[in-house]
Amino acid sequence: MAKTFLVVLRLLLKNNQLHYVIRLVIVVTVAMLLLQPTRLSKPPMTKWEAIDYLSAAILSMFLLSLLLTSSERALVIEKVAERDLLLTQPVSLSTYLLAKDFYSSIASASNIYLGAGFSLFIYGAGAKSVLLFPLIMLVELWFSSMLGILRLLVLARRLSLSLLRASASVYLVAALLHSAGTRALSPLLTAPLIWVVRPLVFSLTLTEPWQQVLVESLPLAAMCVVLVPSYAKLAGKIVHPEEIKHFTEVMTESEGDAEPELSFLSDPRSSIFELYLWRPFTSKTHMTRFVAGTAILAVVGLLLRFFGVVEVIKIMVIFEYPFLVLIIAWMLASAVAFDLGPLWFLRVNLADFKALVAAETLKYTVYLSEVLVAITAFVVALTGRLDYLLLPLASLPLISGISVSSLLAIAIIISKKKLVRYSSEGFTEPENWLFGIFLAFTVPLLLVVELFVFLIEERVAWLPLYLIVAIVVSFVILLAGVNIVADLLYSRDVAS
Amino acid sequence: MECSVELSGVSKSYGRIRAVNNLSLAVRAGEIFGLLGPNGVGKTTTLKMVVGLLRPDSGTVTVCGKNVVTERERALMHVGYMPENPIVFDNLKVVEFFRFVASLRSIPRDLFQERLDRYVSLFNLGDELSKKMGKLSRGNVQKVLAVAAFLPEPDVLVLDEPMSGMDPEAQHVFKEEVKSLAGRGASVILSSHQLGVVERLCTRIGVMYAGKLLAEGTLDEVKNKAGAGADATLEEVYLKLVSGRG
Repeated sequence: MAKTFLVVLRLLLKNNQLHYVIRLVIVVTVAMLLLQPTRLSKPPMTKWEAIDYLSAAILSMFLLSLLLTSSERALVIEKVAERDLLLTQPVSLSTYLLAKDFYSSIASASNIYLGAGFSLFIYGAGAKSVLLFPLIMLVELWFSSMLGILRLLVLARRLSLSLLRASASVYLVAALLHSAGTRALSPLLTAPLIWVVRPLVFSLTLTEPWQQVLVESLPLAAMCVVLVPSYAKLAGKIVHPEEIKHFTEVMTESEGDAEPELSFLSDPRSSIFELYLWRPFTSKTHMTRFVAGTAILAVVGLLLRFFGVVEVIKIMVIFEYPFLVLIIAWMLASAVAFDLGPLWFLRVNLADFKALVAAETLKYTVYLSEVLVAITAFVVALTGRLDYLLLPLASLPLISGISVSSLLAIAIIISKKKLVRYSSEGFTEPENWLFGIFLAFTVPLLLVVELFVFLIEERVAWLPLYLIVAIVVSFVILLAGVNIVADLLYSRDVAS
Repeated sequence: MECSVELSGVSKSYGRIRAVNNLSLAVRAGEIFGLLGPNGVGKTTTLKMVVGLLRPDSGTVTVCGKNVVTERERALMHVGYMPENPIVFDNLKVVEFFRFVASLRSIPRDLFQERLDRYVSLFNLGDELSKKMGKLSRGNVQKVLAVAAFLPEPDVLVLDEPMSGMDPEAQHVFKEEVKSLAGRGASVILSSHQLGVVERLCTRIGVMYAGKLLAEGTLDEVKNKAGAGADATLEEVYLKLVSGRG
């Protein structure tokens, strides 16, 4: 079992190199931004505030995850190859989940560790931080296995889902009401996980000795030793590998029936637009998710403003959101690659490729704009600054650049190789790298967004001019991009 | 309209591997041409060049007298195609897929409905119309793709292992439809490893090896070229031509 565990762990680390690198870049960037003295007049928070905020954040995430738990008898995976591996190779589900848990923890812990380590290297810290910060891995392991066990108990009907959801809702609402009443984070949010967070924060401070950090970590370590193998063992008993589902399968199932049926259209261009653009956006599930997501973010923004946690969050969101857009663009590549999978059919049946690429580019653009609208709702609610409503418009050059680059990468990839169906991005690891290189070309466009934030913050009068230029540049990128990609898809070989 | 398919000195390479090597071939109107050969000798590459999915490195491919590379729309408006093991629209219901085909091929609504009813009945697809394509069995996907290829009533039909996974009843219907289409003047190219089917269905046969045609003609002509007796089956002829070349 130990050998299989190590083999699976090595495979997971090897096959997810790119995600690891991207996450690392994001973490280092955020760490640099947060800790720049020029951006903040005083340190973002004290260690006690950090403990409170982190405890409350982890507990809220845990409760929200419980609220989102479904009763479906399935474990969700990122790559179909994971299910194939479990079905065809002598790897038990328990061993696999154990290895996957460790992989996830190593990946996120080392990312955060390196990001924080980088910042601490600049701003100064003791050797303790460098040696003990990997303790964050324990938090990750505790979180995922605890949540996993509860979900499995729901799947096995040993725990009532409605009871679980009701308890989580009642607790969350009570904690929020108490916080609102006292105008401070309620102990209901901070106290339950303070013992988890304290050693983590103290591993970064200069005053607490390393012996204290180690001693305070022992209960968490002991819990992980019990919880992680229990989770893996329980999963092995309750779930069969055949029941494991890829996340796109779960999403398709939930969206599928809500989509309007494709009607008969005599105009080929209209049918392409209906299939590739209107249908996905007019589905009830999609509309509900968008409206609910935007509303939730706006409420969270208002709550944070209420508690006075504005400056740090604003800096984080505004400077991190272009990265979020890049990550979402990556995820969208799966949907677009999936759309273009039957390219053979579109070519042989003489589809209008300009219409097809225009529909796909618009689809990409609208999806990304929706993300931006949700982020904008959050920022406006948080800051009370209505001028941030222009953020989606100001980000159009970035969005159109990403849309065109992504489609260009997909067009080149599918001319060379058959797509991997249902993989997380539709691509293999080398293709992922190629896709990443194409997205990297859009990084200079991040500066355009930075310029907008500068104009807003400094209240410079050139804002209208900026917006006009941004819109014109976006249209030029989209028009030129549609022609180039359509030409590529029309003329290059088709591997699928 | 009577159409023919002509390949003249066509070559295609993937990197250093030459998949098709200076191939010349003509399939005339009303013919059903069976393309045979071991795996990886260039059959699928040849068919993909006929339907414009791959560009030849050299040589020309014409359909109904139109160059597939330079006049693609005019050439392919006459073509129906069934690929081997294709990616399909998993999220579309079967009936939506047929509507999409009709729209792209500009089939008028009445005619579409009439043809659809007929093919759905022939291929016994009534219960599958409201199912998503991603949920269909392999055989049913093949039936759906067959109907999609027949719907425009093409003048040229290009078929790559079309009957794999189809049940015997559907295979019978499929062969009858192919014969009927050829009888009305369509030219058909069929790549298959089912030698019995090719023997009974095809009017001419070509055996490919290493990107070239080893032998081509009617079954009797191919038998002569292979030096096989008059009573030899296509399987015996094929094995005689191909075996020992690896």
